Amino acid sequence: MRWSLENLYTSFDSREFLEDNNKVLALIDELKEWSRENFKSLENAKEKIEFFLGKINELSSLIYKIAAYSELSLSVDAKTQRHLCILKRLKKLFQKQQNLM
Amino acid sequence: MYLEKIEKTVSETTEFDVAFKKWLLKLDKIEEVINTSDVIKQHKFIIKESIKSAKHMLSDEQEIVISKMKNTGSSAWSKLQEFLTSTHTVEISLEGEVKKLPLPVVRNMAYSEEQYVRKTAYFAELKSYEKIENSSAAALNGIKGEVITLSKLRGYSSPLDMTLQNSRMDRETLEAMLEAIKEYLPYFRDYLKKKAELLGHKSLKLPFYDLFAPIGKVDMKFTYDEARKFIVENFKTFSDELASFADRAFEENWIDAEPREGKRGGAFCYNLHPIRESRILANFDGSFSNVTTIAHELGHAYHGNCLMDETFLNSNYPMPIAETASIFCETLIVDAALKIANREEKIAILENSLQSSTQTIVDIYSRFLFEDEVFRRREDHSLSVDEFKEIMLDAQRKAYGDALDEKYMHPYMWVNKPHYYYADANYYNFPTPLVNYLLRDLLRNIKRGKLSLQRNTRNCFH
Ligand SMILES: [Zn+2]
Repeated sequence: MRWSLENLYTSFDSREFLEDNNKVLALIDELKEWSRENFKSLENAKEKIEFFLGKINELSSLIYKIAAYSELSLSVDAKTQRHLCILKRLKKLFQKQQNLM
Repeated sequence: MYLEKIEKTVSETTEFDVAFKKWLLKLDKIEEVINTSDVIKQHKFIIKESIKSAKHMLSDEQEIVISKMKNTGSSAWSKLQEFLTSTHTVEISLEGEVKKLPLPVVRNMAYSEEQYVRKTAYFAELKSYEKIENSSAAALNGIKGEVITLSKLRGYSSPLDMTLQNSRMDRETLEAMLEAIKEYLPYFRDYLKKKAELLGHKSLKLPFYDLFAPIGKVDMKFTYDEARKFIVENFKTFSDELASFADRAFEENWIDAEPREGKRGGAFCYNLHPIRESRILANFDGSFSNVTTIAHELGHAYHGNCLMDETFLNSNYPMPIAETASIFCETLIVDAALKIANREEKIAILENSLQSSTQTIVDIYSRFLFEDEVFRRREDHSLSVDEFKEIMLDAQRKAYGDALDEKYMHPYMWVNKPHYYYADANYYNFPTPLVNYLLRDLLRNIKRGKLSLQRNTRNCFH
């Protein structure tokens, strides 16, 4: 009668979890720089939109996965104060993610 | 801590998100561009929606000022209201003992089997609001005032117009829905009058405190395995695909049903597009209502499953369709239970379903009327407590008609429903009746054999 979250991540300390976190940070940096550069002119619109959509799909999917794992884990074990605090931050993170596009 | 870093960085995504939308707005041959690329064509809907929303964006400087001012404006008012209601206590005297109880506890007494408890709780609740009514009114005035200012600045014709656009709903659809509701109000009133009669009200008018009174009783009990079997078997009457999907959710441990310490209450479904699965949280106690809850959540999961082949961006859906699949699945189970229930259980199940339809249609209609009138007057002035109360009573009169007892209405519903205080979600629940209506129509047609929807329903939930 309990769920398994292993298909998301095996733990908060797992290599996959840390790697995805790093990927998110790197993608955001990349996109910030890229958009400052590329939204200046209207040329190559097709290529720019394709690139941007691809990256946003990748980025929001990753943020979603991280947030989902964290929120699901905490929803069955939210005893400690530290967890409650994380939960609050997550809510905010999640709203931001949902507002993307 | 990673989360802090992520959180901070994610807030920086606003920069390129806004930049992209504003840039799209500047492209004049967007249709042509869309048609040259399959990837873009696939995202045509959200591209067009982004352009639409860009038209309502202000300059970067203005947006920054607005978001900062909102922190000390509507957000602060919302926090105040949340504080007031979450710390609010009601003084109530039951069986000769005077107690101070939290508001939700007293509001829950509306479901009590004893009329005297329901009635006492109702009077105690109403009386208690006098302590906070002025502050709540100030909060509501502040929030609705800000919404009006912002919707004007952004070039919407009204807060309703802004809400409709955010919900991807046309005004014609809304109007058709309101017309349909008005047409069917008499049927709901007949039900409420019957309920009044059953509860011994000679006037055949129901007092507000008896709206949620239980009628009949369901004694069905299920083990977790029986619940699984019952759900899967009855989903099969609709489609094998839905049934085997539900079975897979049980088999592969997607459901956390065991109540335990440290676990949150209630139920929800989390669709996990990135891994093409879902997870469901429930607190299973063996009751029939628990079985319907799991069926409901499985509906959300199935909805998510129908969207697995879409890109992540295309898998988002707005409020009006969020509850379609879930209510659909829940209804399948309720209908199945009706077939095996005894007479008293049947009455209880049906009454329960009428009770919730009354909420999602009649009461939400009254909330819509209330909010619409509040916006209308707020354009002109700040409303007094008495005005809010009067508008609420008037909305209830229009929605419930002669089925609700004039002497026992609820002038303070605007104090206890938190959704009036969310500046970013106005007319919060208005699409719900539409969903409810569409579903009943769909089920009726399936039963009549007019439609073979198994195949088409997948498309419906897209
Ligand atoms: Zn739901």
